[in-house]
Amino acid sequence: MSPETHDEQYRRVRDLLPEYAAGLLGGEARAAVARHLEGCDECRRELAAWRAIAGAVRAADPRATPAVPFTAAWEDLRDRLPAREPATASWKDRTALASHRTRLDERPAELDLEVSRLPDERRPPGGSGAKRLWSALVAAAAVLLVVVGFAQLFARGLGGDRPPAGATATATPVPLAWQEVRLPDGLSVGSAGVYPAPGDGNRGYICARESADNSGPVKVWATQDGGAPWSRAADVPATHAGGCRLAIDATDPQRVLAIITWYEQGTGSHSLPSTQSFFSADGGGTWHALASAPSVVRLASNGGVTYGLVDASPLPNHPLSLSLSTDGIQGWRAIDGPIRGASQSVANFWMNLGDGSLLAQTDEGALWETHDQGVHWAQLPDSGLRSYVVQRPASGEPWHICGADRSANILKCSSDGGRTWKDLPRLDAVVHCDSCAKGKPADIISTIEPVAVADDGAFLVQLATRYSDQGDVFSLYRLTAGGAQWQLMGEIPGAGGEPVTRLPWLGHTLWASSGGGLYTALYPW
Amino acid sequence: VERARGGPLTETPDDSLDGLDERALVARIACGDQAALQQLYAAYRPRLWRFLYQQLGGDAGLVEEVLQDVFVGVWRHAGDFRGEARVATWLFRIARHRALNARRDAGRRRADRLAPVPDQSGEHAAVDPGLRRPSPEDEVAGRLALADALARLSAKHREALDLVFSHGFSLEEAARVLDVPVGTVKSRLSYARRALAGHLAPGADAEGSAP
Repeated sequence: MSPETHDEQYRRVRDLLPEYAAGLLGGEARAAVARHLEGCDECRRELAAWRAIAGAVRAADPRATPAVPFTAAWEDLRDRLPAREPATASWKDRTALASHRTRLDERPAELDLEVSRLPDERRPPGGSGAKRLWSALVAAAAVLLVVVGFAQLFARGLGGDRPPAGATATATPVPLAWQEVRLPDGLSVGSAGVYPAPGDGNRGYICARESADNSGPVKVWATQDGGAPWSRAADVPATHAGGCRLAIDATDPQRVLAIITWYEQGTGSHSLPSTQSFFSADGGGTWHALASAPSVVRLASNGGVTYGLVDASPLPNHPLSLSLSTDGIQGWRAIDGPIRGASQSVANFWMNLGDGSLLAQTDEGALWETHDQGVHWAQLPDSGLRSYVVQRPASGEPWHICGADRSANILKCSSDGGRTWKDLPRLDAVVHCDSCAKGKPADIISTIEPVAVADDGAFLVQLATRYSDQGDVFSLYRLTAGGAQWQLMGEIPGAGGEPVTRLPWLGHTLWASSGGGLYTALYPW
Repeated sequence: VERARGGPLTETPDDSLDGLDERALVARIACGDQAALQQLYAAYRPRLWRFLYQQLGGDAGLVEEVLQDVFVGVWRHAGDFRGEARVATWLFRIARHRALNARRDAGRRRADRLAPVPDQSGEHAAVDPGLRRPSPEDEVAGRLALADALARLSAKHREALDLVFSHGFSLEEAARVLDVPVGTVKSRLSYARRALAGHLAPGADAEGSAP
C-alpha cells in the first residue's frame, strides 16, 4: 500500500480535530494528530478555532444546578417508580451476546485491542486504538460478566474453557464475625462518607454535611477503634456548601486531606466544579486551607515526600496522574509521564516504605515500578489482568500482587514482584435468581472482585452468591498463600448493591458497607 | 476503568460514580435494585440536569420533571440496555428524547432555538453575566461576540457542540445520542465552526481549506 499523501492525512486529521480539541483522543490517534500538526499550518489554525469554540461552549454551559436537594428529588423519584417484576437479561439478551461477540470478532485490525479484552483471548503486544472506544469496549467486556454466566448455561461454547457451573471446590469455611458499626447520631450510610484509613484498619473518618442540601458546617468524626466509638473532630472551615471527600495518608492516618466540591449558581464563566482543600496533620484536630485545591484520590508519604493520585483539572474525564509533593502538599508535580498516554490515568499505586519504591497501575492494567521517585520506570510483564490488590510490602521483599480479569474471572498472583504470574484455582459461584429473566428463573456466574492481599499473604475476593428480596448477597472467599482451595469466609451482611469492602494494611479490621449498613470484622489469622 | 481503592467506604449522594462499574449498576437496576438506581441517579443528576436545562430553554421546573421521567424510564427499560454504548450515551439519548417530547407537549419549541433564557429568579443565568459586561480588553470583547454568536446558532448545531465540548462525547457517541449518522455530526460541527468563524480571534482561522 502506498504511504498516505499529505492531503489524505490532512482530511483524516481534520475530522479528528474537534475531538482532539475536546481532549477526547488518546493513544495513537492523539499522537498521530500531534505529529501531523507539526507540519500543517492550516491544521493548527483549525485547531485554534476548535479550541476557541470549545472554550466558548464550556463558558456558555449553564451553571445552573438543581434547586431541589438530592434527597428530596430521590424520594420523589422513588415514589414514582412503578412496581414491577424484575425484567432483565432475557433469552434475547443471551442471543444478543452471541451476535455482539461475532460483531467484535469482525472488527478491523486496529480494534484488536478491544477484542482482546474478551474472555479467553490474549492482548496483542504493542496494539493500539482509539482510547475512548477501547474503554467503551473494555467496559462492554465487564458487562459480559452477567451475560457470560448466561452464555455458559444457555449457549455453551461461548465461554471457552469455563468449568461447569458449581464445579468449584472449597475448603472448610472460616466465617467472619461481622458487627454493625453505629454511626454518630443523625448520620446514615446514605448521608455520610465513611473512610477507613488505608494504612490502619482500626482508624477511620466520617465526613458529612449537616443538611441534605450540603449546606451547614462540614463535620468530621474520627475513630481509633473500628467505629466504637466515633469522636467529633474539628469542622472543616469550608466557605461554600458542597460535597465533602477525604483522602487519608496510607502511611500516616493522622494526615487527612478534605476536599470540598461545589457548583456555583449563576456566577463564574463555566460550569466546572469549584473545590477547596483543607489539610490536617493531627487526625482532624485542626484544618489548614491549602492554596491550590486539586482533587486527590489517594495519598501516601515517605519521609518528606508525599505521593498522590491527583486530578489537576476540573474537566470531566480528565486523567488522574501520580504526582509528588515536597512542600506539604501545597504543590504537586506529575511523575508518571513515561507510563501513561495523554488521556490515560494511573488507576492506583502502592509504596514500599522500606526501600521507597513505588508500584503503579494504569487504567489499562499495566504495572510499572520505580525506585527513584518516578525518574525511571520499568514496566512489569503483561499479566492480562485489570484489577489488582497488593500485600503490604516489607523492606527488601518483592511485591506480592494478586488480581483478576473480571471479564473472565481469571485469577492470578505473583510473589516475585510481577515477573511471573501463577494461575489460581477457579472460583465460580452460580447465583440463582428466581425472577431475573423477565420474571423467570436464571442462573448467573458472578464476577469476582479482588478485595485485598492480607498480611499473611492470603488473597481475599468477593462475589455475589445469592439473591435475596433486598438484592444480591455477596460472600468473601480467601485463598491462603500457596493454598489449593478457596475458603468461604461467609456472607457480607446487608444486601442490595455490591458491598464496598476494605482490608487496610494494619489493624486487621475488615470494613464493609453494604445495603445501607456499615460493618466491621476481625480478619482471622 | 478500575480506580484506586482508597476512596470512601460509603459515598454521599453527590459523589460521582468514580470506580463503580456503571454497566453492572444498570444490570442491577434491571434486576429491580433500587439502590443501584439511586447510585446512577446521584452520579448523573448534575450532568443531565445541565443538559436538559439547555434543551428545555432554562425552565428549571420542567427540567426536574423530565429528569424524573428519564430515570423512571431507566428503571423500566434497564433490561433493554444492550451494552453497545457507554451508559452515559444511553442516558443522554433517553434524556434527549424525553426533552423533545416535553417540548412538543408543552408547545415550548422556540423557533429552533435552544439558547436558554434566565429563569424567573435570575439565579440560573444562561451565560456568565461577567461575559456580558463591556470590557476595554479586546479579548473579552471577542469572547462576548463568540458567546453571542453561539447563542444564535440553531438548536441542532448547538447541541452537537454541547455534546462534544461540554459533555465529552466522541463524535460517534454524539451521533448515537442524536440518532443521526456520524457524518451528520461532522457536518453540523463544521457548519457551526464556519458560522462562528467571524468571531474567532485572529490566527484561529475557521475557514480551513485544504493545503
